[in-house]
Amino acid sequence: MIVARSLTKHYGNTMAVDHLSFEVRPGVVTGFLGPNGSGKSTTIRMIMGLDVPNAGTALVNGLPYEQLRWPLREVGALLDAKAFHPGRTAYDHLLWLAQTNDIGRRRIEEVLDIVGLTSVAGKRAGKFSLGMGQRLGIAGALLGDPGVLIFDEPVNGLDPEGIRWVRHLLRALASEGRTVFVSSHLITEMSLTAERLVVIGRGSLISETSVAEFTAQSAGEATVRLVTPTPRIFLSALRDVGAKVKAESYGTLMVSGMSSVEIGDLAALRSLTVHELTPVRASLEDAFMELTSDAVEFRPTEAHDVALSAASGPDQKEAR
Amino acid sequence: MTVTATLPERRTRYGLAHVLRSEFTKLRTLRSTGWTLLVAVVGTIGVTVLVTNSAAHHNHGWYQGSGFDPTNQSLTGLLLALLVLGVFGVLAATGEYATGTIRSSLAATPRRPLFLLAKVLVVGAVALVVGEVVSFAAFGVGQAIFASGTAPTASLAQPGVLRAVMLSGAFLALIALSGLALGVIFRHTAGALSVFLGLTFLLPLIMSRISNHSIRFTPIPILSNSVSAVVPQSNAVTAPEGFALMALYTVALLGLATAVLLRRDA
Repeated sequence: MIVARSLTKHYGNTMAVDHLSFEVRPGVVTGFLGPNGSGKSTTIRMIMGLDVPNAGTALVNGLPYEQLRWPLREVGALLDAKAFHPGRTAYDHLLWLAQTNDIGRRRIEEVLDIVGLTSVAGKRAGKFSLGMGQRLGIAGALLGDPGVLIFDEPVNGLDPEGIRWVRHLLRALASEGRTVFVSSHLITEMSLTAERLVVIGRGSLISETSVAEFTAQSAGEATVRLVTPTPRIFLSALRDVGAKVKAESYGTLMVSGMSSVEIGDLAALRSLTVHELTPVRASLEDAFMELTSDAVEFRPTEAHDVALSAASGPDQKEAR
Repeated sequence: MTVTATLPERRTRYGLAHVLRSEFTKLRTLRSTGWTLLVAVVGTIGVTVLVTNSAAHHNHGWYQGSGFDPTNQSLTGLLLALLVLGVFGVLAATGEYATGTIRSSLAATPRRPLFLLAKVLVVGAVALVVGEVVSFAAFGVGQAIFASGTAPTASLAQPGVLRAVMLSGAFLALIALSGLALGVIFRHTAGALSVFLGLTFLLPLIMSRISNHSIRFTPIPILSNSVSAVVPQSNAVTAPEGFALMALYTVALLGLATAVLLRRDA
């Protein structure tokens, strides 16, 4: 169980985490979702007692991290992809970690086996690929057989097989009744792995919900893709009847606020040519983008606009 | 998938004994540790051979005066050990920061003073052993070379000689701990090393142009002119004073390192 209460952290004038409160419960995988730079890692470091919050508290199993009696037996964490000395072997890295919390050598062999690094245990970790490094980090997290597991972007740098493996591992850990908290900036990955979500943007809580609810919410407004040789005329016709229209490329309009049936009827009424009319469901990614759009710190607005107008015909500017 | 472990239940709490074992493992499992300490010993003996051989066979004038101190002469090479053990101390701290290991360390042992105490004890103990070994070895080799010529020799039974040799070894441990403290304070290897070299090698040079009188309070003159000397030298504090002074510097730096480590985000 992890409880964050009004966690706040600022660096000078920059607010990294802003009165963030949430709970992470045992038995399910909880995804910690937010764009890059939204404060996920800072939050995790505050939970781990590595960074001191300016205000608020984070409790793990009811205690501040510093007060845990055997930290590694209560909390296992994967923080950085390569938080180990490159000159040390995988085995020796796990050995010094284990010794801090009086964990025996047998457990080292066990976790090496779980992550599939047994055959390279004697190799220096600096020679490892990013994926192997992640596995070593995960082995370190599992070392104390903890009830709470925190993974910061665990699938970064993993190949598809590795990603599947992490997904299975996280779900297996949760099914054993552990608290599993996984950060990611990839909504699709989270929708496959997590059951619950804590979504943040610019350090503030956007949503604390289940993946199912989040998907339902986000499916939200249906959109219809309309392809027509006369987008300019179609655009004003649609706007006349109150539809929201965005131009995707020249000749392709994304229409919301009207069903495909209504658009088809309108086309017949005004004798407009339709080449394609397709209802589009908003993807999870769209929903995520929508939710966090106000909260993204760095956005390539300019580049996006330039690309659109450069690729479009004269009609395009009006359409937008 | 078996993720369940075979750990016995514990009622107590992680403590100094666990962190000490872990910190010793950290040192033992890095190849650089062995190489560094080997360089300290071999390099120092090499310098000792050159220096004492020169005095014994080529520069008779050195020992024909009244102030010749064969103990001090044979311990000249410890300057090299001072450099290497200082670097050893710096790297014991900056190695953690450079690689991100510090986060793993503090996640495993969140009581930071305990973590630093264990590091100090382990780095200090290893440096003390190496310091004493290199000091006694340099003394032994040096006296043997003096004996092969016509220069006077010293023996550990003579007054002040054992003290000079032992205290010089212990002085090197203080140097390593100062390096460790600088490593924690500055976190980056280059920065911490620059400050270490500045304080040890550069400071006396600069101070000699400002107040030659006060260079006797800086680390290298303390080692060369006070701690490793049997015959008292001019412009030098006594050996016990010098050692206490260096201990004071070390404690101050470690105090600063503790304060910084406690306040800083990892």
